[in-house]
Order: sequence, then C-alpha cells, then structure tokens
Amino acid sequence: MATRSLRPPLTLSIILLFLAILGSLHLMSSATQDASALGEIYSTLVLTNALAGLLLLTLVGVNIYWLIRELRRKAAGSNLTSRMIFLFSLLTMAPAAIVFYYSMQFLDRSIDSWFDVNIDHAMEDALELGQTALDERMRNVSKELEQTAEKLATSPVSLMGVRLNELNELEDAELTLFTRQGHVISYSGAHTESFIPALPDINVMIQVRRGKPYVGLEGVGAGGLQIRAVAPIMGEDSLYLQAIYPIPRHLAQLTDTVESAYLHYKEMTFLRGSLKFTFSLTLSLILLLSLLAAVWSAFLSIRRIVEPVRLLAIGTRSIAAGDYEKRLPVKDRGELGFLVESFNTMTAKIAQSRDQAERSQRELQAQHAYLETLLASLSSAVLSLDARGTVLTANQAANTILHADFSQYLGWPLAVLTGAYPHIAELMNALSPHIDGDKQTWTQEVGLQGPGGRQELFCRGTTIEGVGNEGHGHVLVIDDVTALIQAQRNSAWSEVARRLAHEIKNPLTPIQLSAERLRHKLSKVLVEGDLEMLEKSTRTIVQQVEAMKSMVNAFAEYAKPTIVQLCPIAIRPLLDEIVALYPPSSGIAFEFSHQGDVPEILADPVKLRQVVHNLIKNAQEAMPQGHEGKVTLSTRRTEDAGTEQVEVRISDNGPGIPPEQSSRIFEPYVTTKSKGTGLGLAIVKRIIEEFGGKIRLDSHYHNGASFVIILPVAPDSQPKAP
Amino acid sequence: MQGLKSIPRSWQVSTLALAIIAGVPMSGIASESGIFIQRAQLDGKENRPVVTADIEYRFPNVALRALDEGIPLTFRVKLRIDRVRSWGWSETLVQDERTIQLRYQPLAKFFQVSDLGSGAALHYASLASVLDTLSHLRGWSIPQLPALTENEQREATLSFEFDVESLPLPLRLVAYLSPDWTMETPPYRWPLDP
Repeated sequence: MATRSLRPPLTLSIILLFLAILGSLHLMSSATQDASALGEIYSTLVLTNALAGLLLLTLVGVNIYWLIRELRRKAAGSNLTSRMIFLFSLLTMAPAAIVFYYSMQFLDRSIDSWFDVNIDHAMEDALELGQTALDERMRNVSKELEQTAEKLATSPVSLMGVRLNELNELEDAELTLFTRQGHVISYSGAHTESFIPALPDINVMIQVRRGKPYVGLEGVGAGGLQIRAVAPIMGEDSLYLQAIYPIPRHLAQLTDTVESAYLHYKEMTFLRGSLKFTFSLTLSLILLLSLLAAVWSAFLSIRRIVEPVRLLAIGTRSIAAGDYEKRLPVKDRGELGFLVESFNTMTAKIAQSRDQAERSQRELQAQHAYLETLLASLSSAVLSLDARGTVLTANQAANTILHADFSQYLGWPLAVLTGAYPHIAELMNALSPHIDGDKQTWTQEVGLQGPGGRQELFCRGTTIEGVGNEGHGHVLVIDDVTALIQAQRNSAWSEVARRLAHEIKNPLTPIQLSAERLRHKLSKVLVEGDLEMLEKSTRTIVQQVEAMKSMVNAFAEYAKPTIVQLCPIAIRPLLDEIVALYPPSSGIAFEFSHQGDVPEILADPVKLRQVVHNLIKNAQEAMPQGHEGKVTLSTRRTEDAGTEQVEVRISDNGPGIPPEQSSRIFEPYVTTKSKGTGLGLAIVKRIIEEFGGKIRLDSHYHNGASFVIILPVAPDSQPKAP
Repeated sequence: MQGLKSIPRSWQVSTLALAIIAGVPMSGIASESGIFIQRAQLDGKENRPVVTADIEYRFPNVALRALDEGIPLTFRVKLRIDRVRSWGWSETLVQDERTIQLRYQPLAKFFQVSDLGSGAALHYASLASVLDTLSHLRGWSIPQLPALTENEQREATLSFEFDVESLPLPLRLVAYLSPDWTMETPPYRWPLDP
C-alpha cells in the first residue's frame, strides 16, 4: 500500500477566514488600549466583528438546519455527524465558558481595583491644593493692584501713565488704566507694539463700579491661565486699573499636572461601568467569534471526515439493493479514504463474482434446459431420487410410461407418489433391493400391471453422489419394452405361422390324397367290418387334415402382410351399420354409450369392420348358454400427450378374461374358447396397430370383457355430432 | 473659515447597525433631551451672506455628568445650501461645518468653549453662561452664492450633531446604544428664496 500524506483538516479558505477574524479581533483588542491609535476605528472594528459574528452565526445556523434536515430524513452519516458536532461543541464550549467566566470575574475585579477612596480623596485634595495656590496668588495680585491703585490716586491724571510704568514691578504683568467708558488711558506691559489690551467684561465692571476690586482666573488660549484683577482708582471715580498676571511657569506646570491627573481619574471613575462594558463586549465578541468559527469549522471538518462514512453507508445500501456497479468517489487519502477505496475494490470484485455467477447460472440454465430437452425427447423414463427417496426430477416419458403426473410430486417423498399411484408402488417394491443396495449400477426387468394393461419395463439404475442434500441419490432409467417384447412375440408367431404354412400345409394334401386313395382301393376288397373301419379311419384322416388346413390357412393369413387403405371414417355410423347386421335372434343386445362429439378417424373401413365383427363374435361365442348377451359400444374423444384420439370401447357381459390370460390375450394361440385357433384377437391387434392405433383389455372392467381401441383422428377432421 | 470636511456617514450606519444588533428601538429614543434649532436665517448682503441661528440646548443628565467629570463634549454644526430644482437632483452650493467642543476645567472652575477648526477658545464661569452664548449663533459668514436661474430655489439646512466618536473609547458604544445619550435632532431647513 502506498504511503499517503495526511492533509490538514481545514482548507485554505477556512484558515484565511480564521486569520481575518483573528486579525480583526486583535485590532479591536488593541484599540481598547488607552493610548492606541486604533481607538479612532474602534467602533468600525466592533461593527466589523459583530457583522463577522452574524455571518458566522448564519453559517452555523445554516449548517444546523442542514443537519436537522439530514437527521429527519435519516440520511447516511447524519447521526454520526450530529454526535461529533455535539461532542466537539461541548469540548469547545466547556473550557471556553470557564475561561470566559473567570476572565469576566478577573476583569471586573481588576477594574474595581483601579479605584480607591484614598486615591479619590488624594486627587480631590491635590486639586484643592492647586486651587489654594492659585487663590493665594490671586490674593497677592489683588493686594498689589490695590496698592498700585492707591499710589496712582495720589498722582495727577496727566502723570498717571508715567507713574504706571514706574509702579509696574512685575516683568510679565500688564497694567492698563482705563476710563469708565472703556477708553484706555495708559498701558504698561511687555507687549507694547501691537497689543490692544483686553478690558474686563460687563459683569466685572458692575462689581468694580460698586467699589469692590475684582480678581479672577481666566483661560488663555486652549489651556493656559492668567489672573485678571481690576480695582478702582481712589478719588477718581471714572478711572480703573486692570492688571493681568500670567501664572508663573512652575506653578502653571504643577497645576496643569494636578488638573490633568484629576481629570483623568475623574474620567476613569465616570467610565468605570463603560470600561467594564467595553472590555466585556470585546471579550464576549472574541469568545463568540472564536466559538462560532470553531463550530463552523467543526461542521466543515466533520462533514469532510464523515463524508467517507456517509459514502460507505450509501454504498452499502446500494449493495444491499443489488447495485454492484456503485463506485464511491475517493476524496480523502487518509484511513477513511482507504476504506472507501477498499469498498470500491470489494464492490468491483463482488460485481465480477456476480457476473461470473450469472454466467455460470446462465450456463447452468442452458445445460438444464438442454438436459430437460434431452430428457423430454427421450423415450425412456428418467427419474432421479435423493438419498431420502424424494423425487427430484422426472421427464415426460416417465409420465407416459408410468401413467403418473410426476410434475405434481417433484420434491415430495416417493411414498406420497406411490400413495397416489399404487401401480408405481409395485415397481418401486421390485426395485427397492437395488435402491437400498450398494451396487453402483444395476438392471432389472419388471412386469407391471398398470392402468393401461400389463407392461414390461426394463429398468436401469445408477447411484450418483451428491444428489439432494446428503448421501447417495439414484437415477432410474425405465424403458417400456412391452411393445418390443410383443413385437418379438408377434414376429416369432409370424415365423411359426409361416413355417406351419410351409412345413405342415405341404404334406397335408398328400396325406389327404393318400387317405382317399386308400379308401378308394381298399373299399372293394375289404369285408364289411373292415370296410366300415376303413371308412371311419380315412374320414377321420381327411377331416383332421381339413382342420389342419384351416388352422394352417389361419396361421398363413396371420403371417401374411396385409394391405390397408386408410381413409377418414365417421366411426359412429360405421358401428351402427355393423350392429344392424346382428338381428335380435342373434342372442346379443346392443347398447350405445357415446360421450360428446368425436372427429373422424383414419382407418381402413373394411378392416375396421373385421375388427368389430371379430370382437362381437368373440363376445357372442363367449356367452354361456341361456345367458342374455349384451354388448355395449361407446365412443369418446381423448387426448394423449397433446394428440387427439378417438376411443372405441366394446364391452360385453360375458364371463370375461381370466386374469392369468389377460396379459397374453392378444398373443396367437391364446384363447378362452374350446374351439378356434386363438388368432382372432392377435389379428385384431395387428390390424389396429396397422391403423396406428392401440387396443388393450380393460383390466378394471369386471362385468365381462371390455376392449379399448384407440384410433388416430383423421387430419383436418371436425367433431361429428352423434 | 475652515475647509470642507467629509461627513463620516459610516458612523451613522454604525450607529444604526449597532442599534439593530442591540435591539434598541429607534422609535423609542425620542426624549426631551437634544439640541433644537429654534430659528435660522441667512442675513447680510448677497456677496457676503451670514448665518444667524437661535439654538436651544437640552443636554441629557448623563452628558452633563460626563462634562462635570471632565469629559469634553463635541458637536458638529453643519450648514448646507442646496439649489433645489423642480426637476432632477438638488445641487449643493455651499457646505460648511464647524466643530465646537465644550469642556470643564475644574482647577479654574470654568467652562471652556473651543472652535476646534480655528482653535479659538472662550471661558465661562457657569454652564448657563456657556449655553446662553452658544444659543445665539451669529456671524457665520459663508461664500457668495451663485445666481439663480428660472425655476430654481435655494434651501438651507442647518444641523447640530453630537460627535459620539469624540467621546472616550469606553463611552462610545454606550453612547451609541443607550438612548440616554441621544442628542440627535432633525436638521432645520428653510427656503432662502420666498
């Protein structure tokens, strides 16, 4: 197996998204630093991260919705995905929640620890100290201004400008002498070139006009301070002196520091709740984004991990449904990807095996069909039995030969078959020593009294392995050799007849002539007693020779090949014509028992008349003296193996055929009569067989003798009404 | 006069988005606090028009508390004069903006009002003095307005916006999300050509 490199579970896009979120979160976190330049874009960063959170929340929501849908429709792998997602989320959220909780606690306490009552008091005191210092400075400035104003009051108005410059002891102070109407009389200060002194506002002037000097702090520019003091000139009701003193640099720096620190502390105190809110919001956003990104990436990763499992589940379902052509895409080269590849290999092999099995099945079916065709075309009955005697197969010839419908009993025990067809039990009893024995192959001839008369069966058996579920099975091949034996007998009898005709008939005429010559020569010379004996003897010889001639002629006729001229014949009118020849005085009563319509038969009408006459004559001769004879003739249409036939049944109420003779009644020289050659029925049988038909003795008929003649139907024959 | 400054409209969007996220019902924000322009008009000659306006300030308590704690409050006063056509879009003829910051200096115990554009600062001993001064907007001179053609009118819009972004960082989100900090008022519009 080739070594495969492991791939990171996250795609580049996920990593980039994580980096972007991480960067944004870092910027937002940095922006919360007090002196960070990112403070200006803090709101944008918060909004960006909030939107990113919304995006991730939507993605997670969509994934959860997808998972719920998959679970509801019981999609492959959905259960595993949900479990893994739940476990992953739990493992992610639990420590995050703990860290978040303690971080919030720490944050809250840390911010609270920044503030202290003592510091608060210290800051207030520092500010008050600064204010006290400024107040002290203002009081000094006010006092100095009042002293300057008193000194100026002693000078005439025209010399006040000179006097003002002399009194301005402070380098940075600006002294302005102005009238009630706001006209500047004199100015003394550092900026004399282009400076226009700023006079006090109306509120200050209202106070000064009441005789109360004014002193106060004023802002200069964006952050500087200066002291403005205004005092009236004593005695001069309409003159006022204003002094503007800048705060000394060192004092200004100190007060600035105190005020900045105080403001910063007050601002922090005021922002205490907002700080907690901001930090909490930032931390919450970071946590929320991290969790959402983690859950979303978990969805993507787990879906990727579960994908092979899902594909395998789909694949196994397809295999279970019989789709062996299913191939799964290999998206992962990891262990699960190896499973998918193995699955594909397995399905390919299964498909190959299935194809091979199907080919084998088709071949087997073809062979089976070939075998069935072969068996069906066989004239021999073929049966197969398993070790328990269950009938496994039987061909059509078995049905015909053994007069049973084996198709109804395939898979059933032999006992069931023999129960339905008792005559087969006789056969099986005869064969059981071989079936139960150990011989691999055996043969036996069995004479069987079947429904169609006595049959001579030639049976062969073979033991075969593995037929059925266990043990040895048997194949029985049964040939009906009745016709063959009969033909052999007929042939033998024909040969006998021919020899009788040839060997016996020839000497009979010389014997007869010799006897008549003896009677003619000796009748003249013998005395009366001797002559009478001669007459009697020669007459006997002549009569017996005649009898022998008759017998030889009968045998000759039996042996002589006949010429039949077959033509379509309506059997029922023919029977009517034949019966009409027997008047009531003949001692025989006739009865017809036709069933349904019968088609025309194909036969020689002359020979057929001979057959019927022969059978009626036999019945007539078999009738005992004084017995009222009755012959029943019936016809009906039958079918044998799909071939239409006409059955003619001629039955009498005579003594019948003894059972011991019934099997050989159609053989020559077999007769129940005291007279006759015993060739009548043999000739009848030969004629019927020359028509292509069959004749048998109905062994189940017990009211006399009943002969059943089966005759072929004429081609294109339509059923004829009775 | 300071140059034209681009209006940070993103903050308006941000405010709206954050308000939506936080579930703050915007319709419920209306309260008594706010900055209301009572009257505004364009005076002076055609070649030297001057804007005067009377404004009423109703700062919310939380803003006053913040001011008292040393947190400066910054406002943007925006003036726009549009040429209103009977057809098509309006055309902005003049657009000017001033940024005013109000802060308290505890050491000297006075309030300082600064024009951040020019850097000029005024100091007041009480908030009432500050608001009294700020209530009367006077002498805001603007460039000469172009002549009108037929079927044209001019419309002036004066708006007063509280600049949340100038607040300390921890206070911004609170100011965006809390209705206590709402000082937005609808702009005041008046036609220049009767």
